[in-house]
Parts: sequence; structure tokens; C-alpha cells
Amino acid sequence: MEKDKWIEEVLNSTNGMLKVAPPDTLRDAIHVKISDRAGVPIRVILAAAVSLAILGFINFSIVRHLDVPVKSNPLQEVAFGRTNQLY
Amino acid sequence: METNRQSFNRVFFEYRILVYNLALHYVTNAEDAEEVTQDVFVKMHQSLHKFAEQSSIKTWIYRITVNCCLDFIKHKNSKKRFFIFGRKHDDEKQYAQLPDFEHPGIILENKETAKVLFAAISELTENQKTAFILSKVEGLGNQEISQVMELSISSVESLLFRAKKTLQDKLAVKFDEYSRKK
Repeated sequence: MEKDKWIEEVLNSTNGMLKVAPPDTLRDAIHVKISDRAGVPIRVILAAAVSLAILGFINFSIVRHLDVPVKSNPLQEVAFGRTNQLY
Repeated sequence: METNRQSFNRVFFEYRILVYNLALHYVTNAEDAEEVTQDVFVKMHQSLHKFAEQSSIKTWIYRITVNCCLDFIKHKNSKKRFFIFGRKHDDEKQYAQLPDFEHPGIILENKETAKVLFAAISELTENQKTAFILSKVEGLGNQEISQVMELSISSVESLLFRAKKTLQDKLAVKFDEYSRKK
């Protein structure tokens, strides 16, 4: 049958396939990619993360020690009663 | 003792043709195959020292290449979907200009039929596609395929059977379409 013959022909179309060599520039391109990825060493990233954490900790401890009570504004107390009604 | 760079260079020269050709079978054009090959060797460079030799290096390289190809296709398809629904981008023109089928390994007289075959292969599920390409196109045995795909031999046999059946069905539909056009 013509249909089966055609299907078989299509399925076998990879027979005799040739092995192709990649372009000569491939190795250089790979080395460029490798050196790009190795750009920032892990030690630098870790040092930056630790510095940020120390900075955050210093900020937090200073704010906690300077815990000044908020002064109430007497004008506000006059203007608003307990019910927050303006009139 | 061999340094990391030396062992990487040795692996590169020994397997570059294997990786590039396998990538060609998946992505079916030289430009994309080169990009995938670069990704495969970059990944290999990052993890060559971790290679535990539990499997052969060839199996390991096959596995990395298959995974890189499948990831590349997924990424490319999601980009295509973005171009359909999303805003227009300069890359869209580049994508439109890329040939979909330009497999330099196919002999001239089989070019048209191979184009039809690879279009049908691209519609298979990931596992069926991998099993079919490794078996029919790369010529690996079922045991080697089972090691690459980390499946049992019976699962590979089943995948191959279903892949072939699906391809036959898809090609039958294609044949009917061609006949109607004539």
C-alpha cells in the first residue's frame, strides 16, 4: 500500500545520516562562557552578604537603644475628644 | 596527574561531535545546536570534578545533553508563546528568520522526508522523543538508553513502541493531507 510505503520511507529517512563536526569557534565560545560565569567568586558574594547582615544588626541595635518616648501634642488632645467627634 | 583543564579539554575533543550531533537531532538547526553544545560543555565544566564514575562518562554526557536539549526547547517554545501574546520585541524578527529545519547531517535525497519525520518527532512527549532519537537516530541499544534515561529496559521498550505507533499515526494523517492537496 502506498501509504504504508511512504510512512516507512519517512521513518527510515535518517538512515545514512552523516556525523557533522561543530564549528571551530565552538571551543573559544565555551571558554568565554566559562570565564563569564566564573566572574564573581563565591567568597566575594559571601563577604557582601555578611557585611549586609552586620550593617543590619548595627542599625537594629542603635534604634533599640535610642528608644525615646513619643511626646504627645497638647493641641491634638484639645482638638479631638474621646469619641473623635469634631463637633 | 591530569589537571581539571586538561581533563576538560580531553573530554571536549572526544565528545564534541557526539554532543553537537545529538543536539542537532533535537533542535534541527545548526545555530541552536551550537548554543546547546556550548551549554552542555559549560555544565560539564562546572560538574566534571563531581562526576562519580557510577556510570560511564559517555552515558553521563548523553544525559546532560538530553536535559540541555529539552530545556532549550521548552525555553524556545515559551519565548514563541510570549511573542504571540506579548508585546513585540526585536528578538521576534531574529526568531522569524531562523530556519526551523536545517539538519546538515541529512543526505540530500532524504531532506524532504526527514523534515516531515523531525516535525512529527517534535510533537512526541519528552520521554518518547528521547527514546526514539537515542534508538533510531543515534543507534543506541535499549540497555544504553535505559542507563541514559535512568529507566528500566522494559520501560524503554514500551516508550519506543508507543513513540513508533504515535509517529505512524501522525504520518498517516500527514499522508492523507498530502493526497488531498494533490
